[in-house]
Amino acid sequence: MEDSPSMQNSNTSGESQGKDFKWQKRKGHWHAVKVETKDGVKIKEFTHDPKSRPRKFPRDRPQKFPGRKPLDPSLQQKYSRGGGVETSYVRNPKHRVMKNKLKKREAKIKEAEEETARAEILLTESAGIMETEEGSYTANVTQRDIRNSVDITTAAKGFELVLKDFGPYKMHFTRNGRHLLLGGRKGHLAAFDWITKKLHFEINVMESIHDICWLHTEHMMAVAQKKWVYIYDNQGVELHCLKKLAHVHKLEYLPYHFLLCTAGETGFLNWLDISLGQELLTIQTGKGRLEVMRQNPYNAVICCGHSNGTVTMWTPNEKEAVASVLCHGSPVRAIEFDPAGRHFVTAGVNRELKIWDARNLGDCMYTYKIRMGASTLAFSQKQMLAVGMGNVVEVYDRVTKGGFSWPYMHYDCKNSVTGMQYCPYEDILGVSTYKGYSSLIIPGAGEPNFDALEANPYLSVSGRREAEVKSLLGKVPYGLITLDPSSIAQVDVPTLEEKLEAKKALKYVRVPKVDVEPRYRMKGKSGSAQKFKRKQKTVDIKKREYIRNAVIARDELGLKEEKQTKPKKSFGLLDRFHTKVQK
Amino acid sequence: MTKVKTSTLRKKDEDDDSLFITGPVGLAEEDLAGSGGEAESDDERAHGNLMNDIGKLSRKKRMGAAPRSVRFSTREGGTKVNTDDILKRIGMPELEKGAKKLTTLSVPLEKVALKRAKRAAGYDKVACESEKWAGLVHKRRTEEQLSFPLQQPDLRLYTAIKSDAKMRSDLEKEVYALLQGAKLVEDKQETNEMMARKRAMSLEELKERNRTLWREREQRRRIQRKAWMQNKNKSRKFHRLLRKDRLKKQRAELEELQKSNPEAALEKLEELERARVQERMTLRHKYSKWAHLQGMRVARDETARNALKENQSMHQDLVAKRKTEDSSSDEEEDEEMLKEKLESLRKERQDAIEAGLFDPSNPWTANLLRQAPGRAEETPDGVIDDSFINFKRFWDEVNRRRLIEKKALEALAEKERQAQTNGKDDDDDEGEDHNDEGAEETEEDDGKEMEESGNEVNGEAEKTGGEVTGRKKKRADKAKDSSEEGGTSNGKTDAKVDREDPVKEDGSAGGDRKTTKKTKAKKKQKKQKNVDENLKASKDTTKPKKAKKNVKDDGNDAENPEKSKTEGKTLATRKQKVKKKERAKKKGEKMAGKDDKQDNKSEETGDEQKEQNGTENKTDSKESDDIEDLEDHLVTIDNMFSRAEMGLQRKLKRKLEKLGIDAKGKEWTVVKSKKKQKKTESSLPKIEEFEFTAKNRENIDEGLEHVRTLEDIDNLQQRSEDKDELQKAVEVLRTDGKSKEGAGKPDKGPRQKGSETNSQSDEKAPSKAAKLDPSKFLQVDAKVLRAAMPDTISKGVGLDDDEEDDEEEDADDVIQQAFADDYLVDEFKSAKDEAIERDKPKPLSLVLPGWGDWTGPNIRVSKRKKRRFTVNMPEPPPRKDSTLGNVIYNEKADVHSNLRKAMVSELPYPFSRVQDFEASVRAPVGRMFVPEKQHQKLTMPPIVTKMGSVIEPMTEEELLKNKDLYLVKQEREEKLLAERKRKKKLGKQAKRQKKV
Repeated sequence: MEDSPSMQNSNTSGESQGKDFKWQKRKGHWHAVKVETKDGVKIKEFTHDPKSRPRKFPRDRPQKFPGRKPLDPSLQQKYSRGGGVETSYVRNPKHRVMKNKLKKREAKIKEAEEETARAEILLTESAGIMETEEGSYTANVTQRDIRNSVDITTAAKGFELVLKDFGPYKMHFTRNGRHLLLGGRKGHLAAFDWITKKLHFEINVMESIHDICWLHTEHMMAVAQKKWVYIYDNQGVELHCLKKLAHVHKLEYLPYHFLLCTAGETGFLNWLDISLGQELLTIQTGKGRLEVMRQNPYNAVICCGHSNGTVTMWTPNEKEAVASVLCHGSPVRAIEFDPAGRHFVTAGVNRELKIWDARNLGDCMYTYKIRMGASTLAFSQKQMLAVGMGNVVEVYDRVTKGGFSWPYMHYDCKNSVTGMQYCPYEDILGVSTYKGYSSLIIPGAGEPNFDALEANPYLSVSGRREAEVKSLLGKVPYGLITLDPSSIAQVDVPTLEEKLEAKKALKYVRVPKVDVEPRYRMKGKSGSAQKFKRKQKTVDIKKREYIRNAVIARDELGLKEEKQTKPKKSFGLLDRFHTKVQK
Repeated sequence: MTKVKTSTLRKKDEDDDSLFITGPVGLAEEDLAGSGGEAESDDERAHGNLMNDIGKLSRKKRMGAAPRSVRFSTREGGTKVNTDDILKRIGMPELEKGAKKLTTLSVPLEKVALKRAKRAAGYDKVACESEKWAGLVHKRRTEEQLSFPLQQPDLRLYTAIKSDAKMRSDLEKEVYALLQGAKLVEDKQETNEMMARKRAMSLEELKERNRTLWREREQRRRIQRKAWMQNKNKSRKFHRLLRKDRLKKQRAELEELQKSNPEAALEKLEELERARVQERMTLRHKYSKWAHLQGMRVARDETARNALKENQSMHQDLVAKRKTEDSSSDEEEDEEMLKEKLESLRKERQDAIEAGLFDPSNPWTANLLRQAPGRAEETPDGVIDDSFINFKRFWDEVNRRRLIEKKALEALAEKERQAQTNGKDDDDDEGEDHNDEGAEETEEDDGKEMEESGNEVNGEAEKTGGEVTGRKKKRADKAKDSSEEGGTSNGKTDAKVDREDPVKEDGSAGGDRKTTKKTKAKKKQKKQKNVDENLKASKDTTKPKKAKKNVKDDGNDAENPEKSKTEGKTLATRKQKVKKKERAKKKGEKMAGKDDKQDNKSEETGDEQKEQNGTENKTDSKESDDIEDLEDHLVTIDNMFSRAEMGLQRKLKRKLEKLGIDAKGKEWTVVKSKKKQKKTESSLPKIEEFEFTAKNRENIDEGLEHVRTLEDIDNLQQRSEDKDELQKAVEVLRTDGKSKEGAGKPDKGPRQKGSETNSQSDEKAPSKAAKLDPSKFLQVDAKVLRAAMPDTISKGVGLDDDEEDDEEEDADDVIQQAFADDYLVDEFKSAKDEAIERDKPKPLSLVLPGWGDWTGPNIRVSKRKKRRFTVNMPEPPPRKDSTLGNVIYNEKADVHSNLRKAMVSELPYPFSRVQDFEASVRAPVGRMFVPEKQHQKLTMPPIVTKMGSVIEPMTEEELLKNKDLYLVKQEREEKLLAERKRKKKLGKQAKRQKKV
């Protein structure tokens, strides 16, 4: 990131050089090993440069059995968990054993890191990218060209649906990318397995549909209709009508927390626990109509874009915004997070496209100017950004790394783009427009290796059931939603300090100074001596009281230091008559 | 003592002075022989005596102070002799050398120092012992996983087992033979022969063994034989002897035990008691086959009769109601006895009234008041009280004096009356003669009595004659003397002797009490005989006059009635009469011993009973009773034994009470009571405390409220503040820091990456200024993306004509930015300021309306008060978004209470730094994050125990298994050194070889 400007410069220079532009090596020690044309698409494979590898064994002394293959340091870096416990701080010989154990634990963690890195070898699929011959742009490659040159199954993935009557359409893919949900503004709702083109159901809800969203499985979906939010099953049967969620414009589902978040026309934010059917929190944001909303997949924080150019972040724990960032000098039209949650992109009305560091708030990484204010944005798993401007969809590669100003792909939809999403684990970008839906093939967009435990596109019925149960068991409580999700592994230092202070206060009780002025009494009872006596008495009583209370409190809290008691004299059998020690 | 001591000291000093020899030895001897020999010996003897005396005085045995046997001393002084001189004279250089070498022993350590040294040594030893385990223990503790039992059985499977399978086929045999012949295979197996050879013993050993075996067998056989014989033996005599023997042994044992271990003795006695109880329950002696046979034989057989009698007596003993220890021992008081007592009492009272001795305030006559003398009168505890006896003596004395006075008065009255009558009689001599005779007679009687009853005490008392048997007798004699004097001076005395007689008798009886006591006690035996006698006696006592008549009719005193009838009765005759009566009594006793049916005896017993009732109901002790029992009756050994046992038991009990078994009991009760006390103490004050504390709490709470309202007047009221602190601390710890809304200081919040990023951003110094101003931040040069122009925009589409478009767009942008941005930026700025302001701690106004102030709405508070009672809050730490112009970060909302509940707020054990703890939990261990194998490793349980297996403690063998672990440093070093040396040597050798 730091060296990005220079890279940018070099890139721009390379770009300005002319038409014989070539994709360069991404980093010094990476180089393309294999360039092959797969289904008419030239795909390059990158492997690590063996020269940059640190040599463990000197060359002059070759080993017969050099052991395991040395690890790629960058991989190691990728899986690194950071520095461990510094055992050097443990100097007390009393804790020698503990120190030893800590060291062993650290070694184990290191080993685990390494093994995890080594397990990358199991990710058999590799991502490629489309490259064109000299003198042509990838952006010039049309969908038809691609379709013609790729295999049938892939070609079948690129298609277009013309739905003229009920548009504009919204769309949503399931997490495993298998099922697609389409919702037309005029009430058309359809769900289907888009790969096999098998339609689950198609209904007209007879109301305006503002947004649609899959829930935890392809069996349930939430639909933001004219007034309320409805939940349908995959047969199109209405399961629930959530009247608490009224006038909703945007829906967002947090899969790990089982929360459905809705943003309304009147500026209300709602969180609903769908596993319990419980409404968690309703917030009146006071920011006006909420048209732009996205979740940060990294920390499940909801981000809303506002007309005053700010992006606000919300959690279901506090009624105030956790943070608000001034992103644009004009209203925010769209926000999108990358699947890892490290970056987010905002598009303003003022034709700006900004890429932000999501973890380092307020840190704008890149600012781009585009021809028109982007209405929709989508990030692919391989961090390709699709920008929908009017009727045009453009895909940019490597935007987070200061990519080129040239689009990777370009597509004209003929109609205004109203919804856009990359299909997970596929090189497909779904685009919904005013009058239909088109599925675009974007080579190298999706993650080639899917994690079957996380999201399995080829899930069987029983597998789905199991996954459902498992995910329910692993449900994350909403209380843990915060900007930094790793804070759960941190120590609550202020409370710790407080506790330490409190313990000190209880352990070493300082009797406060008691200042009592005895009442004046007649008949010579307020002589100095008498007065003094009286005063002393009350002071003593108060002090004693104070100490007693302190001791009681201390004992209750178990702060009492246990005295080492002498073992009682034994009387043999008669010991049973000893008074029992009360614990 | 002290005097004696000083004298010895002085003596000692003198001795010391004259201890050393002055002058040559020979001369000194001569001198001693010549001059002071005798004196010296005298001195010696005196000293010896003195020492003896001292020894007698001091009870401790003086072991150390051995008598000084050899003492040299001379009168004349001379020069002192050095040991060196003597040695020289002897002329033994070796001795001199030895003397030179001799050095004083070091002073033994003080007790404390010695103890300390011992302790230190002990510690060293134990430390050494435990040190050897340290390595192993450390190893075990640091091991990642321990699977118990630690000694796992070796489950290796050996496929090639060296089998001693027999060679069956010929081929095998041949091959084996071939191999053996070639010595390729060594047969290591032991043959039976070899084993036998190993086991073989020498002849002597064998013999010895046989002998011991035989001896053992023989012994066993003998014992068996003896037991068998004994079981088989039917001889009654043998069994009786056996029983006797056993009893004897038992008794001896018991006695010994009683001396050595009273507790054990008591136990033993309890056992016996149990046996008795059992016997009583079963009554085997009565219904056994033997008893039945005896019953059949009774008519013919004398021995059987005797045996049955014995048995009967035993039975009675057994069946008789046993008294509890505290009631007096002689308790066979039946109703008849009571009746008898009652009547005798009545009679006595009458007598007493007649004698004018009846005094209701007198405790000894007090019993006469009562109609029914019961056991209540007897001392509640069977033990005689000394004070009681003394008290009784005192009253006796009083009675006696009164009697004397009365007598004197009577005598006076008589004198007046009979002044003229009578002359002098020579009765005195007669009386004396009588007296002598009586003494002689009594002596004789005593002899007989001795033979009969063997009562030594009685015998002694009698032997001393009528002179000094007891005080009472003396007193009686005195009384007689006085009356005699009266008589001699006034001539003949009055004839009202009858009245005096009983009293006198009483007196004499009192005198004889000590002697008669025991004999009387006999009469209270449980035997039927005695009861019968008593019955008779009681009948007799119902007619006291008759009894008197009997006395008068006594054959020995023929003159008495005549004399009593005559008025001119002298005191001498009275005295004589008393003597005679005594004698008669003795004789009666004698007769009773011989023949029970004699009237005399019955009369006597009657008298005695009466006397006893009158005087000494309470004086009899159990012990004497028991002794009497033992002496008086012919009882069987068993009986005797049982009685002795009873006595012993009582004694023991008393003793044990003194010794502390009772005390133990008391201890227990004390303990219990202590417990109770403790309980009550602990409970009561607790309750009080509780209430008290509750009150206190209330008070504190009130105080708190007060404090809360004026919460921040810390400076003014330190006390309350401190109290508040305590309360707060308690609250914090109690809620476990979970309810963070009020407790946690909002400003502090857990440090987040934000802080780190802060520092990072600080590092990024150049952009800082720009970032602070959002407007500047927004004016960043954007990179233009070569995006396509959508259709909706009317302008021409084309990627080639970029430059024109850019220019146009730039112009548009400029206009847009000029208007929109500023407005939004300002808005944002103000919002941020607002947020900052909101989060800032506000100064607290503690102003309250007071004297001289108007209250109510819209009342202005004076400036002075405002100034005075406004507390400024401390400046909060800098905000995290303070360096970021375009961000408003609400930390309170981000690190919310829900999250804090889930966060760790205490550092667990080994960690002393927050970072370290966080680092320790930084890495995930789940299957989703690390490979399965690593997951298993990371989540390995530290201890695994095999189900159903016994986990044995470590033995020292473990140490041997892990030798290198506990090798002491020294050993290692030594090893290292040795190795180095070896290497050096090798090097040298190599050098030499090279040279060669």
